[in-house]
Amino acid sequence: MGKIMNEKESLELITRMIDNTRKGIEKNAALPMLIFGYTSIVTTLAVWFAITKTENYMFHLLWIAIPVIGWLVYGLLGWARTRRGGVSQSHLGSLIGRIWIFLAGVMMLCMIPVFLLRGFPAPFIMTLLAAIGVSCTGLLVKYAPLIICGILGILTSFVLLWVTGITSMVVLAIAFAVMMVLPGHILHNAANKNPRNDA
Amino acid sequence: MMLNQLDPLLHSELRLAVMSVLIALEEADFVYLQEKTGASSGNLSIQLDKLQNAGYIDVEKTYKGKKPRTVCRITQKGIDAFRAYVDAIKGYLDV
Repeated sequence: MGKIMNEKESLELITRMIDNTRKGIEKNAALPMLIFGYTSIVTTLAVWFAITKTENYMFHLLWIAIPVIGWLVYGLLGWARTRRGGVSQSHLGSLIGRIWIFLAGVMMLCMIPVFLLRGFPAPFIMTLLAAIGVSCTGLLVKYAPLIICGILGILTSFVLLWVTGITSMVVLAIAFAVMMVLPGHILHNAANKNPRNDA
Repeated sequence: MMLNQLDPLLHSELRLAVMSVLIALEEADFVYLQEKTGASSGNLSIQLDKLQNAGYIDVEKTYKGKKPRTVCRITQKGIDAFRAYVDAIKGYLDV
């Protein structure tokens, strides 16, 4: 890479490098959605199964598995990535990360009233917060499937105001699949289409 | 047609590739830039020094555990130079 280029080659190089970098950012944005999406589905179904079988509502404590397992897996994958290759941080990635940390904090705060207030609409609030996070991520990276899935998540959250009781767990699992896992895979596959996208 | 009027520091394939990557990022380490540009360590080091001496990038040498790590960030001067370069090229190509 030491040659002098003509103007067309220069512009092509700039376009290619920026495009590759942007694809890498998109791929990085997909990873937390897939990790937290699958963790949320498994945890939700575990809570649903445990309470259905035992009728012991202390199994709601299993919700803590979402942030604990999610951050653990995300941290381990990040650590493995830094050992394998180079690391970059985008302005957009930092902003999206801060939004999700804030939303995760509010979600954890919302877990407290579940044990104190009967009828607290936790599934509605959790789904709404996660869907807002997905929509905001989609708007920031300008990626339509994320925006659409986020809006579907927001609509599903309102369904959870009427579907109450333990059945709401099943709707919650479906909501996590639609608003996190589905767009996460779409984003990941789109970033992988170009073989040069290896960020 | 060669473009003599363009910023000679940016009108080199590797330096332009590095600046194109950094313009889209907050920061990137040496290994990441090497992966993206496909350059050798020696050549990349030389070109990063040139960009740093021109004030186009900041280079921070840190440690991650026991491993040395070189982190690069584009400066405002670098952003301005890159924009001017792209504008000039677009002018030549009439796009």
